[in-house]
Amino acid sequence: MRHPEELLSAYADGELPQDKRREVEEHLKICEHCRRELEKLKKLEGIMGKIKVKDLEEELWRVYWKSVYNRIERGVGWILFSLGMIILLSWGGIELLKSVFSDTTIPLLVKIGVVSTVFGLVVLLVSVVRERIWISRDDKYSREVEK
Amino acid sequence: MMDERELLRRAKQDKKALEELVKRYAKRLYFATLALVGDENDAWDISQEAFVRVLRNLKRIDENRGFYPYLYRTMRNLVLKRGKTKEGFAELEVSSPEEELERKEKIEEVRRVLSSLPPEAREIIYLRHFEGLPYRKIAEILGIPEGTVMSRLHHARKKLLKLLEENETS
Repeated sequence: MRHPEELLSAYADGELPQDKRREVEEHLKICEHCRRELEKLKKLEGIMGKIKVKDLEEELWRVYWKSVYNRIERGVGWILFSLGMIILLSWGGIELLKSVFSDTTIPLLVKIGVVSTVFGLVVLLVSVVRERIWISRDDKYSREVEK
Repeated sequence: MMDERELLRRAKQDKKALEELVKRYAKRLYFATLALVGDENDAWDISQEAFVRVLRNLKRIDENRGFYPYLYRTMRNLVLKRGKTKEGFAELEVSSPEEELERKEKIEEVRRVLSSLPPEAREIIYLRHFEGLPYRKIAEILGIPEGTVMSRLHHARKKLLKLLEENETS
């Protein structure tokens, strides 16, 4: 005999449509095994129905909101800071490059070092900003919102 | 209490409404995350990160669709991305003082057994038994068919029952 075990859970939860419910009830009349399974499920429901998760202190929920807000604010702060740094570094970098290249006493290797440091910093900052701004476009949630 | 649609609409422009929106769903999301990851600190961190990601996209959310399923799935994606879950479950207590299940040891036993279940089993048990959601809502939140909810829930309960029985006999 095939036992409709998965249906038993839904039957105990009152989640089955009429026809399936009747099917399970017919089966229960002739199957001792499934009647025992159903009893166990009801016993479990009895236990679970008497318990709940213990709430945290109210103060912690206030901290929770503040923490969420701070994270949002920090995200914006990082974008602005990084944009500012890109502008300053680009300007400063160009000035630095001008003075380094006009100075004939500085060895070529040092000049190359200065150029790669300045460009490296700018690339890193651009990458931070790009990640912050476009991070949401890569996450599955955003794609779902756009559907 | 303000209607969810109205609250969402206002939260797009007003910080107070944004605060109310977070406060309305914080407990649900935190405890659901805890059921999935099993660790309080991770649940605290991941559930907040989920809020941040959803709120950054708030302007793009359709007010006519439920907010919680979006929030929940964002949290779930973050959990999957980090790929770190532990044994654990929220602290439990009796739902009303008159209940017979007063015995502290019994509650602790249930918590211990719940903690040891696989994350997916803890998740579906939490949604059904602690949030009291119907299959349709669980299916919507998890983005799976109702039939899968039925089968996952059944297997989770079987595991739970088996472990509770083993505990009783030992």
